[in-house]
Amino acid sequence: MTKNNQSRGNIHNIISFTCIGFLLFILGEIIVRAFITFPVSSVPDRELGWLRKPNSVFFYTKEGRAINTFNSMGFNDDELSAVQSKNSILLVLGDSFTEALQVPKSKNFTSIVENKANCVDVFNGGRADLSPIQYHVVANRLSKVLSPNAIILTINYGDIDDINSNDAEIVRDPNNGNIQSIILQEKKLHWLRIKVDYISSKSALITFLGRRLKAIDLNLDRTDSLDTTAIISEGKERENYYKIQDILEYELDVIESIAPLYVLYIPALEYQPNGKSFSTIKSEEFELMIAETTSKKKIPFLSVKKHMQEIYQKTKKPPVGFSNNNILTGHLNEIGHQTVASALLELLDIKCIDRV
Amino acid sequence: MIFTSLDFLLFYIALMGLLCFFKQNSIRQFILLIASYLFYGWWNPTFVILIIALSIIAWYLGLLIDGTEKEKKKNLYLAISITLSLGVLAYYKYATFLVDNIIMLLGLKWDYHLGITLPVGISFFTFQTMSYVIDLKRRKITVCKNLAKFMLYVAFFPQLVAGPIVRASEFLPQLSHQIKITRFNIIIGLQIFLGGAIQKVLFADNLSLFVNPVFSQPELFSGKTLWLAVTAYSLQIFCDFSGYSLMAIGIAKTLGFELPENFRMPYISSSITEFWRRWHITLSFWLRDYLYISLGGNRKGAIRTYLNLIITMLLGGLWHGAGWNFVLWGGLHGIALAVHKLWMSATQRWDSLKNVWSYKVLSWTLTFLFVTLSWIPFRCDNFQKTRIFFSNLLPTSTGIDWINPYIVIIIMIMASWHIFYIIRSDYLSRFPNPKIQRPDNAFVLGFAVLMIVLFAPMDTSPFIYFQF
Repeated sequence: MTKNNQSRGNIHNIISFTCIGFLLFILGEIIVRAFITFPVSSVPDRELGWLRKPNSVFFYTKEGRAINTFNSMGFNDDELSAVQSKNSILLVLGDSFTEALQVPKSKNFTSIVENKANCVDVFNGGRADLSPIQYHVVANRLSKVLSPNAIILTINYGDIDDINSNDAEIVRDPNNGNIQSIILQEKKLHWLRIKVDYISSKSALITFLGRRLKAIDLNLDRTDSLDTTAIISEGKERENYYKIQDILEYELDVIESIAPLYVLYIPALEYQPNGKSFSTIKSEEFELMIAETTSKKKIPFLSVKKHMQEIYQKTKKPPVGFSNNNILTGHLNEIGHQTVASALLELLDIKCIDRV
Repeated sequence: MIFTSLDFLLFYIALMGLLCFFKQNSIRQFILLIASYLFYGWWNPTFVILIIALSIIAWYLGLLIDGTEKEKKKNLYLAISITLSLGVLAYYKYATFLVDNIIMLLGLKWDYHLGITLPVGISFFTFQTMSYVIDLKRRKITVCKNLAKFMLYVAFFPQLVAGPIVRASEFLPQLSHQIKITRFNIIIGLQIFLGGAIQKVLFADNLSLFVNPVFSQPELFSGKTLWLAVTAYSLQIFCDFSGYSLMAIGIAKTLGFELPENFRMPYISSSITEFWRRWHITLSFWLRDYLYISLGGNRKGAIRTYLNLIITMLLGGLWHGAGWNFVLWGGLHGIALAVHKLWMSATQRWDSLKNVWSYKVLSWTLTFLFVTLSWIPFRCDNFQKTRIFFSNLLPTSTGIDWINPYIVIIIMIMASWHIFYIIRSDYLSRFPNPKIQRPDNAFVLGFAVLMIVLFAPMDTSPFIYFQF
């Protein structure tokens, strides 16, 4: 009799704990969807690793809080094609700074430029985690649909580490050492990603847990890109300097062959009291490298450093950072996007009739 | 290794496995001792020798104190023990500070820095060995003749690196009984541990994401932001330290040991005296029993009492770290304690007034304000930053406004928790006795784990009191 009671008790416990586990999963799912993120919105891609899931919705809460929808091509912009558009098309390439999921779509710099210059359609071709070494792939793909009149390449201070830590195959001319091609290889465990993404697409909680696990792995070998003491053009980093410059030159050549190219640089600033700010050493050096490279190729280049410094001087509010994360560093906030939009309009010197 | 790491989890599982396998008490105690040294040596194996040496010396001198009837000899052995303990503490913790100050005072332009590595937990285990010999001398405890038991008392890993500071009278008797690994202890211990983990990982670590950037550049931010940051830091240090203590108590409970309570909702205190009965209880009682009373306590007149309070707190501040900012913090609290004592004696006839709710609210407000503001020198790296911080607290100061909504939410949660504690302390005194077998408790614990997984920041900050 006692044994029967005990086994009945055990079964009761198993059922209770299973129900509790299920209840907690549901609760976790609700909490994650309400406060953190939606289920994964990416699809695997051999060259780029992954792409945003077309026509999906993304809820971003790490910095700021915004919900954005991706178009049928998987980019954070409205639908656009060369066939549909009556205006000139500007294609803007970049990473998370350009994709700008931290702010509502209407407040990112590509939308602001489009609204202010009513004779151009600006297509936001940015995607988080893209390295400049991948931009030529995105440019090639999108140019087939958009036939852009011009391409704006947005580079930020973090890209130097992205270029440095790439695992692409670089093919060089044996005679002069120039880069002939950059072959983006399928990432290791790509097949696993496909399976994980499928499961994650059904659950926000699993998506979030997956990101956490991935972040633990990434944290182990990610270097700090805001190292203000690093001098990249001297000593043992000199080799890297030329390697990065080579890759940059290659990318500019490929993209320029598609459409006229403009380069925009977003620096890393350190903010001081009384409205003063200055570039970090590494950001300054990277900016000089880009300026030198674009000048050599006669590509229009603009750094938004002065614009960002001026807006901080005027408003005493940094153009980066968000109150729910860190107000001094991170991605462009709404003020930052307005600043970059003004700089871009200045770079492009678009003369359109103002919208009424 | 820290309690919230994977390393510790594996260590703990292995330890529990061994303790469940070996039933004999002496073997269990031996396993615990080896595990404690392994735990300490994980950070730096060299300093295991230090803790072993200090334990052996304190134990031996304890035997000598107990072995003689002559007061002079007892005092001599006591003096040797305290000198050695304080000497070791002074060398590792204060030598660099002393040398730097001498260089500065003499105006020497030396670029010399001693750079002595501070052994983790040295402030805690030296205080434990000292309390043993002092209590022995005062005949408050009997001598521990078993070296292994004594070494386990000093090195017991749950409280080794950041307290609670355990007295020999509290711990050694527990070693005379069989170490019991029971289901009940494990369940209760894990509940206590989880409570500590929530405080540390969910609250303290999230608060630090806001506190650290603000305190590193106070000149950049507006007064509003600084007020928010200092309030956030008050809660951060409480949750961090209280959380660690709870985790230590919880782990000890799972092993069948009871450790003393270290925090009792200090921010509900309506006086600074009450605050020190609720904050870092084991340290404050240690300072009271071994320093304040030794200096004369309140037995030598009012002026001497106030002086003893100030000296005790100055040294208490210095215990926290080799820095003048800690001395300043300790001094402020010493003065506040003296002022409160003076106030209490001056207002003895006004007891009825003290029961009026407005008086209580005012007392609480002043106490909280004082404690919170005194955390500024404690947290700031140097006096210059402290000065900047205080000057920017004024409403006229301009700077970047940063009101982090998550920090506001955490502050509101903590405030609600404190208010609930005041209102329903009788209800809460029934915890932690509920059994995990009840489905609603399993749900509550599961929900707590879920919250930690969802909202703990990716990078957990180190325990604040590890640096002491």
